[in-house]
Amino acid sequence: MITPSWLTSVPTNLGEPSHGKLKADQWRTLGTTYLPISLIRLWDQLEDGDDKRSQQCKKLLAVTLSLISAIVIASSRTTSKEKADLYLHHMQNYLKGLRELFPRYRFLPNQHMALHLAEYLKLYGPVHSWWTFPFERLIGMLQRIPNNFQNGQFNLFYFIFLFELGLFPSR
Amino acid sequence: MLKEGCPSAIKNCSGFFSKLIDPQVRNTLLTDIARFLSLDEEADEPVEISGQITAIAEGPYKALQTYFQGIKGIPREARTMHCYTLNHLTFSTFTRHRGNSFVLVRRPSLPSIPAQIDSILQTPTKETYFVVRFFLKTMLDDPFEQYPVLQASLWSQNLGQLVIVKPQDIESHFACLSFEWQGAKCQAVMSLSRVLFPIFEMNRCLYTPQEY
Repeated sequence: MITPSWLTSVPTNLGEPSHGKLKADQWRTLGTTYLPISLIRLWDQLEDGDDKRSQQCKKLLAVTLSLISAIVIASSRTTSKEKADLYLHHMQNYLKGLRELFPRYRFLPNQHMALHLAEYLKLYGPVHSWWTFPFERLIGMLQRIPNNFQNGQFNLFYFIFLFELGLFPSR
Repeated sequence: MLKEGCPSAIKNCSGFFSKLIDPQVRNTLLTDIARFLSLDEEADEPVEISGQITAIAEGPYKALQTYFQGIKGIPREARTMHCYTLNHLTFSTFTRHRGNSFVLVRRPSLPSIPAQIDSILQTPTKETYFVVRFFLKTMLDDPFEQYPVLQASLWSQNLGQLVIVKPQDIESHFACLSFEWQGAKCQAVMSLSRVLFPIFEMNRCLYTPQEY
């Protein structure tokens, strides 16, 4: 797939353990750009026959695209009441489809929380102003700072940092 | 960090913060931030680029004639650019970077149309023009039509004639995948505007150039 230089790249060997965990931004690009085109290309042409696998693939496609549509609407840089309602419609479709396809699947708290997102879109506007994406990124950077793994031995850098931010009591 | 009164602890961490917003990093979050910042910024003055002014090639000149529709004063000479930055996004010619040359062009009251930037011209009066080739609509059934929220569509692999487009008519980049569909070669185009247009606009079935 040809993409502009600013778009996050995803591992070419996707699915193999060697690339490690994907970052949130990679999941977003994968889900909203690569997956829809690939899945529609692979599964939309399948004939609606007695073939059980084809039927299953078609259902999976519909459910996955409901989720992707919900993500696209939720992460759009603009929002409105109509879009929030449309988001909820797609998210409900996704969860209903998931229950039909995998009756034994146990839903997670995140999936419940996703149903409340429509209210937040109406209350607070586009997610970019209130999501924790930048903080997640900062945490990732902080985790990669070299340290000596000696708990309790306070690094001078952190001390100065916290002191100047007023997080450390002064006399 | 550049403002007076910024705690020195923050200034000492400038390296971290720079890395966080480094425009060279491939990251859609930074593009989102840059796009939002550009909404508050005033339009940049056209940048004068270095390089010699040369005669405009025949193809782009014909496209300019069509664009100006017989108005006198069509530039005959211009500087050629390999890339152009708009709202913190880089747009390049097809030969420089294929991904950065794929753009969706806005049309009033019509759906955007994908195009490929052939060349970028800057006239002596600092006017910038993109010389593009529009993608042609394929006659095949478009499987993406049933999913309007995705803002994806199916197009022919053939391109149209050279056309002039102003930078402000560019909506966004798009991602593109060539593949075979119903026995014919075509390409899927997916908008990267990150803006979801009203659903009623997406469902409009309006004129787009057809492949002949």
